[in-house]
Parts: sequence; structure tokens; C-alpha cells
Amino acid sequence: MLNKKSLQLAGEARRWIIFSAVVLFLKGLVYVVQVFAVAWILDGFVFADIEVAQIVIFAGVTAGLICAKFGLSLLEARFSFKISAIVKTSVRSKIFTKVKQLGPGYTESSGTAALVTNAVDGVESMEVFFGRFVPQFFYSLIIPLVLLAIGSFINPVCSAVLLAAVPIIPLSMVFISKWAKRSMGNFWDGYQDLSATFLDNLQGMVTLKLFNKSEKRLQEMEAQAWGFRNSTMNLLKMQLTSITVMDTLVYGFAGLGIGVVLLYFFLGKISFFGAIVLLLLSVEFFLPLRKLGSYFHAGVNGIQAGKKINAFLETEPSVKDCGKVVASQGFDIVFDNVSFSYNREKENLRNVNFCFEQGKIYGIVGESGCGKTSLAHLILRFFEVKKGEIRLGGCNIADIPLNLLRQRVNLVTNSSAIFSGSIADNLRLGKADASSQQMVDVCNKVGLFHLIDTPDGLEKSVGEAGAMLSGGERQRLALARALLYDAQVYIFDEITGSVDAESEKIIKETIYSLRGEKTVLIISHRKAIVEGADDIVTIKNGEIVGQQEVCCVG
Amino acid sequence: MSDRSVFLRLFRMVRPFSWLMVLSVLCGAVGHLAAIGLMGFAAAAVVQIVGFAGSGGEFPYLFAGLALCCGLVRGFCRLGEHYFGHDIAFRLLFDIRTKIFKALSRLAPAKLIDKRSGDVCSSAISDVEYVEIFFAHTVAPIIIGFIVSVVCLVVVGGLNLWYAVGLLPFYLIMGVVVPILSYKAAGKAGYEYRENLSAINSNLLETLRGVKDLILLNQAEARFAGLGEETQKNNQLFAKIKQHEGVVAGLSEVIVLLAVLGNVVVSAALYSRGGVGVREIVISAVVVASSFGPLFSLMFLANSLLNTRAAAGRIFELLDEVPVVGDCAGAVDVGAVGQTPELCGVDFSYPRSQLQILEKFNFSFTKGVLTAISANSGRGKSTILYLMMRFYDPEAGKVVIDGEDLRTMRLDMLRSNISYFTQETKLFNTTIIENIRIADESASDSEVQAAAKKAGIHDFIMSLPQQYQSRVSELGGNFSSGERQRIGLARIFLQDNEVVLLDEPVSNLDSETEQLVMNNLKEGLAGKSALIVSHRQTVIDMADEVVFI
Repeated sequence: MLNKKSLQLAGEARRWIIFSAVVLFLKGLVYVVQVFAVAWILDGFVFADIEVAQIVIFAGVTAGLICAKFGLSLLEARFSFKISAIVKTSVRSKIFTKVKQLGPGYTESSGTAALVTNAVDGVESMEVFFGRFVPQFFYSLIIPLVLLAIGSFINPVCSAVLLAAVPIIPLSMVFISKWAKRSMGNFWDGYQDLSATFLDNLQGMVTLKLFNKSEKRLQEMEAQAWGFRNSTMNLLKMQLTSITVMDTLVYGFAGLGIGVVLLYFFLGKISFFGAIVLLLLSVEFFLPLRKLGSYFHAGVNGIQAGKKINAFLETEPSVKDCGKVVASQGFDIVFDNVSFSYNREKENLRNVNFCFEQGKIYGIVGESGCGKTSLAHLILRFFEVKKGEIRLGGCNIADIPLNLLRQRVNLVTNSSAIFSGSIADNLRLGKADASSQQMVDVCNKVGLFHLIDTPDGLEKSVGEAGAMLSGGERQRLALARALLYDAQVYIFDEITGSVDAESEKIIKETIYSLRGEKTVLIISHRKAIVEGADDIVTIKNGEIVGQQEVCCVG
Repeated sequence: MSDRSVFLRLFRMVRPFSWLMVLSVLCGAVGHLAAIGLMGFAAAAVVQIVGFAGSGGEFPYLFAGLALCCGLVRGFCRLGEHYFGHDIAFRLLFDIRTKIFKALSRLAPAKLIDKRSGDVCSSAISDVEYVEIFFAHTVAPIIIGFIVSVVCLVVVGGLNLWYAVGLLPFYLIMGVVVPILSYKAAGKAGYEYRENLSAINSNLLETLRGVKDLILLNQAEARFAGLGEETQKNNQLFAKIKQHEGVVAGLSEVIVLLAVLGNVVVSAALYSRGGVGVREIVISAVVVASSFGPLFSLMFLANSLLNTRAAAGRIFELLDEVPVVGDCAGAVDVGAVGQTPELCGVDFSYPRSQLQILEKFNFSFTKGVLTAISANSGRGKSTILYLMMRFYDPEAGKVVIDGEDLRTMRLDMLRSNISYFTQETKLFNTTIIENIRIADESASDSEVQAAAKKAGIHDFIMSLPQQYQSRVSELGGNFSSGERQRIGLARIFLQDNEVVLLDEPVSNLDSETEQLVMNNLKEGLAGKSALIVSHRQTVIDMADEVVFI
């Protein structure tokens, strides 16, 4: 159930997990002492005239137990914090490191959804898993055996009967785990589906109202919810019944064990003291495993999340960072017989030979899916070429450290991310130490002056993912950020694809103002934006089929 | 709203499910009592045997049998508690969601038209969950704890009143004083921690979604480090909370031990006076030692109260908000309308805004003449359309259609007669065909396809593996704003109303698609009342008439 690999995710926290289990174990021992003390004092009441001295001793023992329990509780909380904090930090940093290593090629081909699940929900599951489930798991394995040993001093048969019930719990848990994986999985999926539908409908409320569909949508939601409820409750009824059978068996055995204790006591084979001790201990035979059962969901979740995270961490990056610094001259980009495919089905680029000269502006056009964007992805090394090589300034880009390559070449797309925070925060992503004058200048350049011409100025918030800006404003902000970044080569991929005319005009002007200074590649399926480029390259089915000096374009 | 009234109202909200709540609580309480009973009856059996010790009495079948029964009952109670608990959680979630949906349905579109609407929706989701947790995991344990404690007091009190007197203070400390102290000491930190945590999580989401750009800008490391720092900072709060948790947990253990000690002292005192015998001593000791279970779970309950309070406050605020427009008394179903909406001497400013957008404003256009409104941003172009759709009512003057004031018409009639294309197109998480068909449910597949063709999106849809049956979620972010916009336009084409208002219909389209769509629009809108708002010159140029504001 616990495999080595998921345990390795705990990293530094492993130590604290062991400590945590030890604390649980010590708590169990304290309870044993407490049981003996209580039995002893009751024994005193029953068989001897209780003396003040005995009560004083009992009070003394209780005081000792109080100190022990208090201290152990503090330690337990401390360790549980340590585990959470370390697991969260270390698993996340492993994920982050991997994300960086995998590069944009990974998110480009696999999306970010799985990544988000791993880093947010996955890490939370791991926290609970390591903080609660694993220590309890180890504790539950050991404590019944220890109790058996202690109970054997009083009467081996009685403790054996009590312990006989213990294996039923793990058995029942295996059973439950099979069920939990299946139906609880279904349950939570269905449950989350309902939430997603609810959110979807709330967000689309304006549309629903406009088409007079809100009432109907509510009824649909109701039907979906009740359908889900009824099937879940039926399933639950059936499954809970099976669990109840297990539960009944467990408690039945506890009852049976107690019955045996009573019988032995009745027959005079154990003392009153022994009977009380066994009686009180019988609970502790079962409680740890029961408690483990209540963490079970966390356990199942944690194991599954661990598997997913491990699988992610083992993903092989599609490009390797060479790490060595090489001398390159200038910023010409040369495609030397380059072929490339994302997968085996289709060759996205075939034998491409071309030289993008420094300081010139190139338009790259073609229908969607022709391989224009692959060109950009290859220059930035999201992916590795299959054949041939790409040189930047005479140097194979595979030999240029990725950081350096991405410092020299920048890509702006129509889905460039804007982050919540202020306009200045977003601009500083391009240049961390940008002065406010620089930021104001660049805003002016891309026609965003109206945004910062408010009391807030550059500190004006853009909302989550730039939600408070229009599409065109977001795009211009991404452009401004790229300009501040001051790369030598800029690739613009469909950046006027979904912006208004005014933004389109400004973006175009800004891009063309880079002529002579930077190498610029404008990728678009529209002719309009590349009019004015020094050179227009047409790509069809992965091959360059045409190249024309712009003066010839209509 | 005061804390008290918020919580009172929360409780009123669950009144419809009170019977389920009672069942679940009863099962929980009986289950706990059965667990205690198991020990208690076993102890009673032991004592009975002690009474006969040596004299060869009968085996205590009754008590042993009762103990066994308790064991069996415990299992079934667990079944009941879980079953009813799930049902409550389910109904509660659904009920509150329905209430919120209805409230937003009343408040929309005005409430949701601005760009912060996403926040309203996402906070509604988590708020509902807080309330659900409150009832399923806070209220029920409190009641169960109360019932179990009372029963135990009665039982030990029945043995001897002094036992109950001795036990009561420990119950009060454990069930009342400790939770309150815990809340006072850590409630604020817990609130802050959870608020920070959700902020960090949304930051994390944003970072991962934008990781490509961060890597391209060589900023990924810095951003990750920043997140790490924020987490560290929040961990300091977490450490404080955990430390506090340790103290409270330790304190609770101490209380249980003190209660056991107290019980022994009471027993000794009574015993020395001959007030109790062995039976009372043993049974009370066992019951006291095993009765604190349900109270243990109360220790930290209060700590999430602040979050619940905030969540419930937000929900009630939403439920109580008065919509800016609604059906007026005596609003009538006017059937089909065919003429153009008209603004007559309208004054308008947005609620809670000082800015007068429109003043003594008149606007009309002619049926059959494609009219475009051109103006710079912020001059109230969209506002005119909002008023025509009655998202808002004017402060003075009136909006009329077919000579009737909009306020005399039923809102649903108004909306089914006028097609209105919004700047943002929302796609629902179903198939593409369902997304288009929302405009006209009776439309056949071929009608939907014809509309999609007019909107220039048919070829794109056909290029998808599942074509019209593709689910929007599976495509996820693969829908560009231009593709979304064209699906929105397909809806308008499909709806085919006599009055059509378009707000920036082609703002996200490239020039070629724009050409196609505009031509189709012009053709489709011929003879209808059509108004286009755009600041694209190409669009303005295609209109029959242009109004500058």
C-alpha cells in the first residue's frame, strides 16, 4: 500500500514522520500506564479499604501522566507542522524545478491542467498523507502487538482473543479501499462536476438571461443534482451496509473479547485488577486502526497523488540545457536543412533552409497548421529539431545555454499571460529594475497611456489574469513587457489575432519601429500585418514555398 | 449584519432539513453512547461477578449481553450517521446553490456585466462550501457532544448525585471554555491563514498557467522563489496555529485525566462515608474515563467560525441585494415586437457612480437601415444597448419600443424579442452544437450549421475531431477569443430576431473573417432593426448610417 517511491517524496520530512509515529507510540504507552493506574485504584476500593496514601500516589501518577501527555501533544503538533511545511515546500520545489527543466514545450503540448492539479491539490493531499496517515499507519501496525505483549502478562488467552479481531480491521480496510477507489472516486468526480456546472452557469448568467434560459438551466441543474444524489445514496446504502458488517464484526469481537475476559474473571482465572486492565485496554486495541480508517480517504488520495506527482517528476525533458557558454557573433538566424515533427504522424517542418538576417523584419505567413508556429518553437528550443540545425549568430542553438538563448530571443503570442497585480508588476517581469520613466515611456509607445493616466498611475491593478483590461490592452501590455525585456530577436505569433482595430494599428506601428535595431519575425495567417516587412516567407505543409521582397507584394 | 443575526439566519436556512439533521445527530449520539455503554455494561458485569466472588453466583448474562448489543448498535449508528450526513450535505449544498443561482438570476445582467463578475462567482462557490462544512462538521458535533454529555451526567448522577456534580465542571471546561479560549487565541490567525492560503493558491494557479511566458522572460525562478517566500511567511502563521493546537490538545488530555482523578477523589470521599459501593465506583470510573470522546472533536471547531461568518455574510449580502430592474407590476406580454427601440430624453449614470453618462439623451434609428454607433471608449456606446435591453432603467426619460415604455413589458418577452450580442461570448461546458442551440432550442442540426457558416466558424468546427459534438471543456483554452466570438455570432444568426443589437461583433476577428461575417450580417439583417456598436472603421464603413456620439 505504501510504496517506496511515494515515501521518497517526503524528502527531509521522513525524519519527522518517524518522530511523529514515535510520539503516537509514546502516547499509547502513557495510556497503558493510565489504565494500570485506574485499575490499581479501583482494585484498592474493591479489595482493600482505600487509604489516603493510595489516592495520593494515584494523584502523583496522574500528575506525571498529565505532564507526559501535555508534552507529547505539543510535540505531536510541532512534528505535524514540520511535516506539512517541509512536504509542501519540497514537493512544490521539485515540481517547480521540473517545470523549468521541461520548459514551455511541455505546457505547449500537454497543457497546464495536470500541472495545476499536481501542484495545488496533489501537494495538499501529500501534506495530509504524510502528516496524518503515514505516522498513524506505522503506529497502528505496532501498537496491537505491544498491547498483546502487555496483556499476555495478565492472561494470554484473553489478549489473544482480543487481538484475533485486529486483523479484521485491515481486511475491512482493504475492502473499503477497493470500494473507496472506485465509488468514492466516482462520487467526488460527480460532486466536482456539479460544482463545475454551477460555476459555469453562474459565469454564463448574462447569456442565460439574454436567451431566457436561466429557469430552464436551473431545472436542468436540479435534475442533474437529484439524479446524482439518488444514485450516490443508493450506492452509499449498499456500500455502507458492507462497512457496517465489518464494523459490527469488529465491535462484535471486542464484545466477545470482553465476554471472554468476564468469563475468565468469573472462573477466577484472572484478578479483578487484570479484568479491568484488559477491559480498558481492549478499546486501545482497535482505536488506532479505527482512526487510521478515518484518515483513509486521505490515504487513498495521497497515494494516488503521489503516483501522479512521481510520474510528472519522471517526465523526460524534450530539450537538454547544454550549460556551456559559447561565443556567437551577431544575431542572424539560420535554418540549415531543418526537419521537425511533434509526433510521428505528421512532419511539421521539412528540410527548411533559410537565413533570417539581423535587423530585418520578416513576415511568415501560411494557413493554420502549416508549421509557422513550429518555426518559433524551434528557435526558442521548446522542442528539439529532428534533423539539421538552427544557428543563432553562427552558433548551433543547442550549444547555447537556454537562459542565454531566451535572453536574446523573445516570443509574444496571442495568449501571452498577464498576471494579477499592477501594470508596473507586469512590466517589471520584462525588466526587473525598470525605472518608472522607462515604464511610462514604453506605455506611451504601445498606447497604454490612458491606463496609467489615473491617480494610481503605474500601480493601477489589472485584475486577475488582466481581467480588467480589454483584449487589445492585454496584448499591448504583453508587447510593452517584451520591449522592456530588450531581446535581440523578437518573434510575434498572431499577436493581432484577436484585438480591435485601434490596438492592431498601434501594435503594428510599434513592431515596425524595431526595424534596423532588432531581428523581427511576424507570424500571421493574415496578410495585413506583414505588409511592410522586408521579406515575406510563405509556408505550406511544412515547407517554404515562397519568398518575396515586400516591394513586390500588392 | 451582526454576528448573531448572520448565524440565526444560517440556522433558519437549514430548517427544511431539520428532520435529517435530527436523525443524523441521533445516530451520532446513540453511537457514542453505545461505545460508552459497551464499557459501562462490561464494568457492571465485572462488578456483579465481584459481588458473587467465591460464592459461586451466576454469570452476569444480562450485562454481558447488553455490552455485546452496544457493540452491534455502534455499527448501525455509524451507518446512519454517515448516510444522513451525506444526504444533508448534499441537500444543503444544492439548496444554497439554488438560492444563489436565483439571486444572481434576478441581479443579472447588471450585477455581472462588469469585469469583476468572475470574483462574485468563484467566491460564491467556496462560500457555499464553508456553510456546508459549518453544518455537517460543526453544528452536528456540538449537538452530539451535548446529548452524550447530558446522558452521561444523568447516568453517573443516578449512581450518586455527587458524581454528576464533580463531572459537570470538566464537561463545561472541555466543551465550552476550551473551544472559546481556542477561538479567541487562534481564530484570527486561522482566518488570516486561510485567507492567505487561498491568495497563495490563486497566485500559484496564475503562475503555472503563465509559466511559458515566465520562462521566456527568464522570470520563472524569481516567481517560484516569491511563491516560496509567501508560503514560508504563511507557514509562520501555520506554526503558530499548530502550536496553539498542541496546547489545546494537551489541555484537553489534562482535563480528561483531572476528571478521572476527580472521580476517584469523589469516590474515595463517598466511600469513606459509606455513600457508594463497589458498583458505583467502578461503573462511574469507566463511564467518566470513556465519555470525553465526542467533546474532543469540539476543541477546534470554533476556529473556522470567522471564515464561516465571512462566507455567510457574503452569501446573505448577495441574496438580499435588490435588483436594479425587475418586472414592474402589471407588466404585460406584448407578443412580438417589430420596431426599433428608442431612447427619449434619457438621463443615466451607473449605480454607485458619480459620472453622468447620458444626459437628456435622445436616440433612435430606422428599421431596415443598418445603423452603426461610433464613439471613443467610455462615451456610453454599450450603455445605450444596456438601456435598450433594460439591464438598467434610466433615471429620467424613457426607453420605448413599438411606442411602449420598456417598463410595461415583461423582461423575458423583451429579451426573447431582441437579439443582443455582448462583447464577451460565454461558452458553456457542453457540446458546441448545444452552445449554439441555446439561441433556439427547436433548431435542427442543419439550421445550426447554416448559422455557423454565416458566422464563419463552420470550417473550424468541422476540423475538430468530434465536430459539432466536441465538448467545450475538452478544448479548454484552445478556443481563441475570435472563435468564441464567432460562436456568439452563430447564436445571433440562429436566433434570427427582428431587432438585433451588436456590441463590437467583430473585434476579435481577423480582417478576412471580418469581411465574411460583416457581409453575412448585412445580408441577414436586411429589413430588420439592426444597431451595431463598433470602433472599427471597416465596420462603420459598411453600415448604411453612422451615428457619432
